[in-house]
Amino acid sequence: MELTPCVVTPYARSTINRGYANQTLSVDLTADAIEVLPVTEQMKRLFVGGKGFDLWLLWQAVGPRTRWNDPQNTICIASGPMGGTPAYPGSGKSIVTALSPLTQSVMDSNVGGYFGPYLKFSGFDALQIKGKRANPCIIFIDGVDQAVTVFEGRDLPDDSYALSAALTDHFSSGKPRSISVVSAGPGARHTLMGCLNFTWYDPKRKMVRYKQAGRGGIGTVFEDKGLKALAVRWDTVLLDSNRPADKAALKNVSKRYSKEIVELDPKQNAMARVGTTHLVPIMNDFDLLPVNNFKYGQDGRALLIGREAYAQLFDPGYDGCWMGCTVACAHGVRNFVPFTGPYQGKKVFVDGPEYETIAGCGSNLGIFDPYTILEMNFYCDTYGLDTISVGTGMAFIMECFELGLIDETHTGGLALCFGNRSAALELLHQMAQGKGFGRIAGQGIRKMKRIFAERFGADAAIMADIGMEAKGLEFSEYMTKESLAQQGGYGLALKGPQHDEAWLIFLDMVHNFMPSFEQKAEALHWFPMFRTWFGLCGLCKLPWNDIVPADNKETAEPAKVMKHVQWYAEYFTSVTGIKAAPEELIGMSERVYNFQRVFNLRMGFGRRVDDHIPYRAMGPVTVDEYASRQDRYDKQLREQHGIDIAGKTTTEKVALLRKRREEAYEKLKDAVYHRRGWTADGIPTVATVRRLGIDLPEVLEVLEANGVTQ
Amino acid sequence: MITVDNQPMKWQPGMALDQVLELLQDGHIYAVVRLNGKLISRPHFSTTPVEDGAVIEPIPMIAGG
Repeated sequence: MELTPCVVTPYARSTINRGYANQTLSVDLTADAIEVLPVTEQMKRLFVGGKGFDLWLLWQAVGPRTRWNDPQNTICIASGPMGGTPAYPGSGKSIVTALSPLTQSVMDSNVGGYFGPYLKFSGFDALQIKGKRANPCIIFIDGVDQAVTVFEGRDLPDDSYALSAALTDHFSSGKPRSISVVSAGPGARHTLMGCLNFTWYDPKRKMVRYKQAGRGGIGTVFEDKGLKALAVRWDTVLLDSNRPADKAALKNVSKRYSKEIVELDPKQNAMARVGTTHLVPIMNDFDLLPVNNFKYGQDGRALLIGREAYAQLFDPGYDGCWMGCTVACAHGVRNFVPFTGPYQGKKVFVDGPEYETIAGCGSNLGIFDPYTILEMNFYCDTYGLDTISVGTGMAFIMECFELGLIDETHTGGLALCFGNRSAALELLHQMAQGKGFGRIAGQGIRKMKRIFAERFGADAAIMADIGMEAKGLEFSEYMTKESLAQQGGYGLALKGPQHDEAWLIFLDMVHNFMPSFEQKAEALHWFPMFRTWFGLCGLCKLPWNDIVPADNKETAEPAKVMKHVQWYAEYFTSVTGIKAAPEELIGMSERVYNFQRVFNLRMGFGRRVDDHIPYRAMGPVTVDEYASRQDRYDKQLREQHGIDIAGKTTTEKVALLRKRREEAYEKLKDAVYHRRGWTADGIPTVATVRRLGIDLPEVLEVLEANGVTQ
Repeated sequence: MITVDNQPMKWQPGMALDQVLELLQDGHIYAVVRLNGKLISRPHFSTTPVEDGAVIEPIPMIAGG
């Protein structure tokens, strides 16, 4: 590996004050220009930090006609005012944004690892990277020696794991924990679903570990810019590193939270031991685990790929992706030996799997072998591919194959039927190399639907129903057929169907806490807003409601876990010095959330029609799918909809149910838009943006151009 | 005797999990419980026998991904 510096820019590191560095770093790869820019008071007041800063920087960098692979497209990475606090669980998140190659609109993706906090302590609340370079380059932000350097690299390892380890070694000066690297890989280069790997150094295992900013292909944008990696160097992290406004209060609330998690997590989900793998058998029991492209919700083999399997495989030890996090759910498997691909026969450490990868690359493909899932996990990461888009995309391909919409003449001889482990792995390798059928698979479901119809003559109507994408993004891995609220949680999510805005399945389907449209709409207001707030502040959502206080059930609204919300408000105030009550946290998010909706509109999306979801997400598309839950569906038609189904064929009942469910989803949209202060077409009104204080001239201009003047 | 949510409870022969939860004031809200360390979901409550000496911890699982 050879690195040649081509631009070196010294800078003066700002002193962090109350969680902010008060400056951002801009790197233009085309112009070889590195600039340090101020953070204005308006930025902090309107956008708080993290995703809010990212969106504001991205808004200014791109125009309505900018496309994902234009030099103007800008990758923004930010932490947030509380990001980097070592004592409060889950305080090491980075948020990444860019225009997405999958959706053509704004994408945001959150990730653990040390990069965001180290970036801030090096003097920058956010980093924006625009332009492109012809030769592979690496940006190194040295917060210790206060210099930003762009290197051109030769003989660099191509895959993310090898490259990150090599760069950590290269830049660390014997202190590997001082380095965090961001990189993608060949899969990101050859597909539209590239992810970014963010690293931290695990001192006990003496190795580099990884978390992924997976969604929406930002890794693909990264590779398209000629970027091979980012690296940041920082030294010691203390509770004082954020220079909190009230250190004693910060210490106090952090101590309470950490203590509670240490005490309760082992009694609840045991995430410090098994991560999110506990969800697999539970989702399966409740008919919510996606099986065979979301066709079914359970399978008798699910136990083979759940908590009990991975509890045996995970390497015991501390697995926090940020310092001091007591949730510590980032588990991995030591000495795994892949049986295919470039690492065949070599021992590797697999970071994961989490629930999403198990469901996406396992059950949804009809694969119930924990080792194949580990191998898919490993190669997706090291190639720089999003496990969710890969899993959901392959599931679509497999159903098309089984339905005869495509065959082996199209797939280059791969028998891509459900459960075919070796075919799935071979397709993954092809995707990473940009070869064979992998070139098509890497385009994502939206483009595959068009390619299969135009080139292979496949039925477009059935593919529209079973292709699990919305806004161009592949669904994450929960079944929503029996939860109207979660259909909204996916369909109305700003970036596409990812569950980080709302996860309402249990509240809606299992507990029936929100029977009316208005109650569902209220949930689809409050939960996305509170969850958005984590991304503004550099925080992980898991500690909020994956471990809940013992007395939570006695509170008025247990689903909101208000004791923790109150603690988050105290946390925010103790760091920033800004007094904030729980309802004010929602207000912070509402500003950014509505701004992002308007941003979508500016990019040509963000209307009612863009909140459409495929019917597979709402109900049974096929006769056998209906038959798998016939009692439930028959009962609904009879009792809920008052339909006499005697003598009706299953095909007729499928059509009757579909009509009702599609109508219900449209009614849900109406209720949610109303609650959010949007027009019937899903656009924030002028009154809403004024109420939120984001009535900036450029925002009003977008609204007016789309016919919204009040 | 069994232990439910850290409280002792009288055991009866032939008890199933759903019957134990019915005896709790808030038993209806639990979708998952830990029975002797093993997670059991509501669809299996009625078919899961509870042996004498069992330890049952209701899980407030409301979160998801």
